[in-house]
Amino acid sequence: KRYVRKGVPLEHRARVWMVLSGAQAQMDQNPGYYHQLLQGERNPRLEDAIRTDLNRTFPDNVKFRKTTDPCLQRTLYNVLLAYGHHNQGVGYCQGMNFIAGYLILITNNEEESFWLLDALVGRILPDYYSPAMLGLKTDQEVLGELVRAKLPAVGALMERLGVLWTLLVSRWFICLFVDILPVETVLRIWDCLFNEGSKIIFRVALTLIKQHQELILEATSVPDICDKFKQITKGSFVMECHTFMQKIFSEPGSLSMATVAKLRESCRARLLAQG
Amino acid sequence: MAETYDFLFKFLVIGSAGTGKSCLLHQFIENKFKQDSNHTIGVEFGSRVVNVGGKTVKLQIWDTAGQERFRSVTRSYYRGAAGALLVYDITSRETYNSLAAWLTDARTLASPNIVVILCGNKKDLDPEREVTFLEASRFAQENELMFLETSALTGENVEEAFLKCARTILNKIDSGELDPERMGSGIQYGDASLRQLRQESTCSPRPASCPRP
Repeated sequence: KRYVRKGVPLEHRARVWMVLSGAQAQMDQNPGYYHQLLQGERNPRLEDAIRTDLNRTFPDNVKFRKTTDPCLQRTLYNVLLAYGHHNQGVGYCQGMNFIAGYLILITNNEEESFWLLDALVGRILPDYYSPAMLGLKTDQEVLGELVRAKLPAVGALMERLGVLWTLLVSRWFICLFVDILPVETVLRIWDCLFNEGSKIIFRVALTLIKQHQELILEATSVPDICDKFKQITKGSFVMECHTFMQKIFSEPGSLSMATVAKLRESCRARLLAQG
Repeated sequence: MAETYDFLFKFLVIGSAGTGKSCLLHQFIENKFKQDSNHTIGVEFGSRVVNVGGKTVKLQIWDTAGQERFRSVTRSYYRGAAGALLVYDITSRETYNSLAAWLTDARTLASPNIVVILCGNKKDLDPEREVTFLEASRFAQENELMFLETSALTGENVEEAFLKCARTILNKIDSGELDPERMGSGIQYGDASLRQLRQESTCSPRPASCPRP
């Protein structure tokens, strides 16, 4: 844990993620499965949904440009299509394209990217991407509870302005900070995510909020607070990933998996009761 | 000093994925086509102050993700919207077919009085058209919507769409059909009109009898 928290060297990252997440084991136990999925029965709705987003995934990255050869759009399409066939309850949800895109860039391997995506969507993250997005809504409520407990002034402001957390942090959870924080910082966060699980997301979110508490408290309106939440993901604090990673383990204080599990349970029950 | 305006209107931009909602908003605010952009996750927003019929109006525009499942997340922002751009892509029949569902969402969740303008976007791609102007205008008529075909690429009718919607809301305020005082109307008085009100305010606390700013 200590070594992973200090950052996995880029050249070993794919290998380490594969082993830590159990993706390697899954891949070894299911030879040929990925290629079968690609040949599976066609699903035009799924194909359309994925295709709509291909040009809208990292348009600034040359490797993802339609005009480049070899173009990673094809690889991305395959990984997402295979995943949609594999996990039909989820299919394709926007945001998965950004995650798969990063996995492809790191592994340089289509099949490994698929198994890593499966580790994240199927096991590490709790139900963020299924059509009801209940896991996502739950975790946003959990973050709200944690903020109320640990940073009550921010909690009170949110209540006063009547802002829902989903407005501010949907992208943080859905994209796992891709395109929100700097690349190197995101990769360091993912190192821990694969190793320690989804509570890392709360650590990162709480750290960002705590570090910029004063700035956030200046907000006087909903658009204002949206702006502040964009500002806090930029600048030197998030660029210096070593310090940032140290902070996420010290700043928010203790955060046990048991606490998170309990909060998830109560928030989920509340959401289900609301309908 | 903060900008002054007579009214603030909350607007929504809704419609299926890939219809160009964010590009319409970008074109309206920046006067540019957004070439390479990621799709929207959740909700983004932008604002611009416009001049409509002698009034300055600040449009606060909420741009939403179009993928079906995000609706359960984005619906929470519909409340209190005064106007909406309902967007489909003229080259995609499927995006046109889902208009009714989007419209129901807007009318039930925002306000039954929400002023909606239907926008058939990607007008510049006429050779690939799947939805004719005529059938869309018929749909608009049946559902009491205004209608324009727009191009976020060339900018054609983009400004008009937002202004037309704002103008209609102003007219409804003038005619008394919309009451900015009602909670959740999506309309607020801006600083300029508040000041005006204070000057006129022999009639208090506020009133039906008070001349509208």
